[in-house]
Amino acid sequence: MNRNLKYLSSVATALSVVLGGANLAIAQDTVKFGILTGMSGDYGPWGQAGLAAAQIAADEINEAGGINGKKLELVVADNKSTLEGAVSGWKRLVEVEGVIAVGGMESDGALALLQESAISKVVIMCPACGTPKLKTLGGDYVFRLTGGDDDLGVILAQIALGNGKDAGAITQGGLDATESITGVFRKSFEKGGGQFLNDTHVSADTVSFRGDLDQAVNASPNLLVSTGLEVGIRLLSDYQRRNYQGTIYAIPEIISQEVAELGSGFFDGRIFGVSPTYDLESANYKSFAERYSKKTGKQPSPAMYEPNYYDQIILLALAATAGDVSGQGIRDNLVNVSGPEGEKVFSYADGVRELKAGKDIDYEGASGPIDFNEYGNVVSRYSEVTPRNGEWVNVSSVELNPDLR
Amino acid sequence: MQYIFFALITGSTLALAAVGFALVRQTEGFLNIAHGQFMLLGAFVAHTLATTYGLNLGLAIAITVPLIGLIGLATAWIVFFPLRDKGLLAQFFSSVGVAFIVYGIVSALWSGRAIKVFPMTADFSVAMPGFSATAIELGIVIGAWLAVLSLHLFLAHTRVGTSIRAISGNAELARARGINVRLAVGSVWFVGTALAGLSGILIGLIGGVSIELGWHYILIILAVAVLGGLRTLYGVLIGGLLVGAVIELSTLVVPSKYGVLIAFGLIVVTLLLKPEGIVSVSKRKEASA
Repeated sequence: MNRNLKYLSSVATALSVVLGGANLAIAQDTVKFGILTGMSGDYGPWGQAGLAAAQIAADEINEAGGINGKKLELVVADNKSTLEGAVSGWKRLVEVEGVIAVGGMESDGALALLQESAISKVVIMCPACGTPKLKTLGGDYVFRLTGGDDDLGVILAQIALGNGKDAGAITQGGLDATESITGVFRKSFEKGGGQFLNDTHVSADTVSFRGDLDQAVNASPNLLVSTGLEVGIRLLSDYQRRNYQGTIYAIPEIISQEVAELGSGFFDGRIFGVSPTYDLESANYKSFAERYSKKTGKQPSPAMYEPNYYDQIILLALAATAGDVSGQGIRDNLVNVSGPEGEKVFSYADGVRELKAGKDIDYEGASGPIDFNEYGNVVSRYSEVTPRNGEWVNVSSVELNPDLR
Repeated sequence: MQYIFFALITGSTLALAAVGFALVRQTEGFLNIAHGQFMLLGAFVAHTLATTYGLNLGLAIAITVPLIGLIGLATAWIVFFPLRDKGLLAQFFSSVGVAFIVYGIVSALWSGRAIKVFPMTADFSVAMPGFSATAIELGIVIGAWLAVLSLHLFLAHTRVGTSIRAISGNAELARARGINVRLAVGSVWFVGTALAGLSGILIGLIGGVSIELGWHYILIILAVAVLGGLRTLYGVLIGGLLVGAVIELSTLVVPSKYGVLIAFGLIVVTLLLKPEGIVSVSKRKEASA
């Protein structure tokens, strides 16, 4: 018995050494970043477009020699656009796959994993998180590449005030992103002299929105639609079918290709949204757009945040190159490689070259300059968009009116 | 008036969905949880035919509905018929398994976009003060009730329909009388799942086709069927209209998210007072049917 135990113990030890060695070898050759995003569900269109952009960044990094000679591997987890999916996906990526940073996160997931990211020392990068809560809660291990919904709410209110003096809202309850933006919109709209007449709350599992929509339109046909994509499409389909006449203001969750194609032109010039705007003439944007088009057969869309998904990976890799290839190393260097001080660089290869030369760098990406403040926030530039012939098009760039805050 | 019309739209689609479910329940004896996923499949197939293949919507529906019926029949043949000897519980749990399989297939084939919308334009509507109805809404109500009327005529005036009524009352007696049970049960599966497909399409026409449509509706359908009385199809139709009315009219008083809650509350109260459902059929009458 004793001999058997000793034999088994020796085999187990030998196996653990062999397998451990194998794991170590893999770990030495590869750096893993996670992409935890909605590949299906409400955020599916953004997740799919964003993943293509992130892969372009990973390819660029690997073509430039990887991160300190190690190949970058993106490990993808579909959170199905749910909070539960974000938490379970995080466990898989961090505890099983051993990633050192996670990109592609949405607001609800980033907020839920705020403390967990600091405990496990894994950086979270949000390409499109709008929640106002990150305005002061981020900056330790959570960073975002877009302005907050509070800014978007103010700008949407500005646009609505330019079109009329009355408006209402339909808000999907239970979501941080939707409820917060409606709150900001209402406050700014009233501050600007408008009358906010109604806020109808809906739920995703409601069988029919006909009654809700009728009540909301009777109060004011000019509506902020502050819902997830699926609920938004159902509401807008009803709005079109019943031929309601008013103006719709859409939060970023609604600004998708599906909505642009909805209604065969009915919504052209009738729905307005706000999306981040990029310098389309910059060399960096053009280079990204060309590669994106080659990879997907489509141009980046004004409202899909693809440049942000691309930049998040480049930034994470530059931060890892600048310090330790670890979550903490990335966190400690993320602000440095993107801050305004230092040599301006426009690609991963340029950034690595300058870092190796011992210089500070300031990465300016496809999405434009990225300067994180102490809370891990950046200032975005916005433009007003509307559907035209099945595509979202820019109407004009919008300067935020601080008096409406 | 407007809300009564909204109630009629919701009630009609629910009634149509539930009547197919109840038809299978009456004949086979178990609750077919996969019914909701056949609704989903119907909606996605019709949407694909109408958009990807550019078929006229009517033609897409005409192809899809019998196709879903055939898929339902094949599923019954492969899964449910061999399980008859294992008892109702085995068939019930197998229907849950079938539901997940159909859901998985639909997710794999049509993944990606959050929701699909049938291409339609508002080119006709009836409008008067305080009321309006669009062509598609009228079409859905009329289409649903035409399907129900066809089912009634099929059950009441055809040989197969009479056989179905006979075996749903007493299968052994029907068999002893020389009724072709296999043909009758096969017809039930074909018609029941075809109705599921049609109701899924009608729901998709006004609300878009979400991948969760099947799961979302199956509990409501179950509630409608129980409320109406699982032994009578006409009770299920009334149950559908009632639940539709409660869901829509309750939005005049409370937010719509509580509509289903109120509907289920009403069902619980009804069943406490009348456990056999709002329309019951005596065993004797049932057996003689």
